[in-house]
Amino acid sequence: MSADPSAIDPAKTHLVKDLVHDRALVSCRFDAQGRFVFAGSEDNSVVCWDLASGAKTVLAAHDSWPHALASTPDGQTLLTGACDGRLIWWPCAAEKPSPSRTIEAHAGWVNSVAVSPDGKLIATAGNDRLVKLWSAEDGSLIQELPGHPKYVYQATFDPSGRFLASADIAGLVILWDVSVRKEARRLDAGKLSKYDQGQGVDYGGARGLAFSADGQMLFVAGLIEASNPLGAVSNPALVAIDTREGGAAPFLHRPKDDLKGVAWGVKPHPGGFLIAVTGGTGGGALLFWKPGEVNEFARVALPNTGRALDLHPDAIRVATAHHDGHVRIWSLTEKPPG
Amino acid sequence: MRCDYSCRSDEHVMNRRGFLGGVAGLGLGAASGLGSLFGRSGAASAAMADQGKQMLVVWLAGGSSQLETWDPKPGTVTGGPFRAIETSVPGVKICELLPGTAKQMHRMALVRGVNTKEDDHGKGHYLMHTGRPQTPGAEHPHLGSIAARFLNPEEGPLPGYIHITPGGGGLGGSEAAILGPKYGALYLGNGQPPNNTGRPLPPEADAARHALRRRMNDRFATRRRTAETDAYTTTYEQALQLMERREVFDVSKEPERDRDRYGSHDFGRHCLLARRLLEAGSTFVQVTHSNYDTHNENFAFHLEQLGEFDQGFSTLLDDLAQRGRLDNTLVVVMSEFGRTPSINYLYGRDHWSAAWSIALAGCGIKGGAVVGKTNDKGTEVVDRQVGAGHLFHTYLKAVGLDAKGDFLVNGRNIQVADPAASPIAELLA
Amino acid sequence: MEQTLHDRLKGNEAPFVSQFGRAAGQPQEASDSTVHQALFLANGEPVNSWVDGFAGRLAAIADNNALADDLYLSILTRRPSQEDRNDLVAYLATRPADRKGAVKDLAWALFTSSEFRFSH
Repeated sequence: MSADPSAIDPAKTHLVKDLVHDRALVSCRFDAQGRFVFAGSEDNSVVCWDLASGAKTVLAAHDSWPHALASTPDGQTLLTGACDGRLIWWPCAAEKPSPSRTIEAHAGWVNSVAVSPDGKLIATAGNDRLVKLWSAEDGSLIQELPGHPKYVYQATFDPSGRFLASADIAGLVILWDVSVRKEARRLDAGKLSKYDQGQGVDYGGARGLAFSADGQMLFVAGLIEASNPLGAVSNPALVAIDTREGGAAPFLHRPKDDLKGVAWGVKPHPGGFLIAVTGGTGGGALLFWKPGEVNEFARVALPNTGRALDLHPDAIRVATAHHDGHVRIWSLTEKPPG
Repeated sequence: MRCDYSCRSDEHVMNRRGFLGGVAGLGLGAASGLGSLFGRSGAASAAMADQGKQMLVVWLAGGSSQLETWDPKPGTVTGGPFRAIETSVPGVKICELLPGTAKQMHRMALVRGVNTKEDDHGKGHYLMHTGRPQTPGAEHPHLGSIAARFLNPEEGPLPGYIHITPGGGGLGGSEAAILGPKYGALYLGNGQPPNNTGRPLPPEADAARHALRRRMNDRFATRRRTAETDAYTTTYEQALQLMERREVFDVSKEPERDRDRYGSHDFGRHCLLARRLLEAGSTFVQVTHSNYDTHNENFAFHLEQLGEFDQGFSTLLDDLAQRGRLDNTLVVVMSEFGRTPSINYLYGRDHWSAAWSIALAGCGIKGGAVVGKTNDKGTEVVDRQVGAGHLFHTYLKAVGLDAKGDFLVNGRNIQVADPAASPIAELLA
Repeated sequence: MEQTLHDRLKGNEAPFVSQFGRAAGQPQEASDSTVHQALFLANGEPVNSWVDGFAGRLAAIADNNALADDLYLSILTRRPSQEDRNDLVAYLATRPADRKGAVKDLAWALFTSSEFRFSH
């Protein structure tokens, strides 16, 4: 499918495929070549759908919820990380996929997994407060990266592969220099986090993390105005951070109204806007923001609370994963007549 | 002298003392069989009190999830993402969020068949604190007030019912209901010592004006003496006692290595303060940990809260055991209810009282015992279902208070526990 | 006078009344007689500094009968009995060099007495 940029019209986003699983979903990801969509489920499996044929395969090996999904750039291998602390390698296109490698990656949940643009490195983020670098080829541990004082929720490489960004529940973002495997800089997405004194809990943090195409900006998805964390009272929000030394202060994007929920996942679109999915008591929605504008310019209601988001390599299609067990594929274009 | 309530007047105290005579000094009691000789009289309760039985209640406010603590169901549709771990009791597994507590399981008992039929915070709180359903007009005393009245010696060095809370200090009094506000809770807000425990004058000068105050009150009492005036004057005496013992409330006096072991968070400090108070002779100490009402993101929040709980609680339990205190200290861990097996769309669990758990230790509770069972998804109790009344009877029995015995208040017998229930025998050695 | 005293008392007790834990939903239990209140009244700065100011004025009254009248009327809104007067004089006699201090103690004792608390 070739993308005609002028056809992209977020306000006209419509459903093009509805993929159904029988248990709630917690994550979703396209492979890097765009042939498949994967979704982690509360039944501990990762479900795979072939986008062309619609064929569904179940990747069952984890003992707990697979929140973390990423494919190698060649689209051949899927990495999955779960609440069982394990990281598993899977052949993407196998008919009966089974793990090609399983390692005990973290003491606690694996919250996020990322593959470097050159396909050689894998980064994971865990509830053990560690970011870890692994060899994609043989699964050996290359480096442990301590530094976050609290649960690390996200890890992602910048498009050049020079940097790895990680972000935690308190909104601390660490930019790591991949070549020397050391901290390069610390950035602040603390607007998305709070410690609630009355309830005695940390809440918020990075629920999604993505670099802009030029690597200059880092986008963090999460929540604000958390007046009652245990009662799910908050608004979804994004923070856009300039990663350059002496860059502009973090910019907050928020809904134009009191939409209640959390922004799970953020993807920058080559057309120059940001996409996020929300879920919570305000229901599910796709929100679209332009850089420098506080409120969204388009919003599309979803039939069920949203839990995860990914943008297809074709930059036309978006996948959302839902509590009702559906992965919904959307096209950011106007639905053709007829 | 008119005294139409349980005033514990000099008269009453004298009778009890006279009866016990030298017996109390010998430290005899139920263990030697003398308790049964006394039958079920109030004097027997007093004899038990002199044994120095104490209680520690850890209150997980908001309703902690039994599936993320004492009764995990990993790999089921209700189990959630956490797994179960082995404990020091072969065959007994608890949630992986409690690794320290798992090592203490041989000292603990689990009650997994609790069905209290009450999903409301306020009513659940009342039910679990008093052993009775909350009904309009009726007021029953808290477990802590019962301990303060019937377990705490009259001249006990500290208030009988101390409650360490994470939030503000609250006003106490009504927890004691018919027992009188003297047996209400002393709240230590965020584990801080009570305010105003420092004297504004040198001790002799302060003593002189207190003596003056007492004279005036004695004179007034000849004209008018009620439960309220007595309670009021008693609070000053309690205040003086507290002032004398203010160091007991200062947890910074505990060694630094202990503060590290218990955890550098509020709950850890509060557990260490509880140890300090129990060692100083407090009869009843409650520590509240907040908050477990996880309608949203149940798993992330329980991970965080139970991390604190596990460290503080397992350290405290182990210390009590190592210091030889556990035999005389009843430990109860409970909430107002549990949480739903089904997981809602916010990754949360909601209120649930039909099949949940509490944990116990110490004071004759059988270590390693598991009483009651739920089905494989945790949606129903399938064996040995118990309610709040049974639990309440069990606590009282464990500390030597026979709930079916006489408890004289206001010249009348009151029933401190629901007469329709009885202790859970399998828990008591 | 009495109203002023009560108003001052109410204002100063505000720090004690605090919500306990937002989410637990427990009923706020209030009681008339608590150890916290006794500590506040006995040792709290507001009460003790008020008593100090009050006593300063009264200690200047040379006649003990007039002093007793003023003291009891101000605080208990009644005249002192003969026994009250005797006690007062006896107490003043224990501190001949510090009349103000003694009057302070008398005022404080009346203010913290159960009669003051329950006769209004």
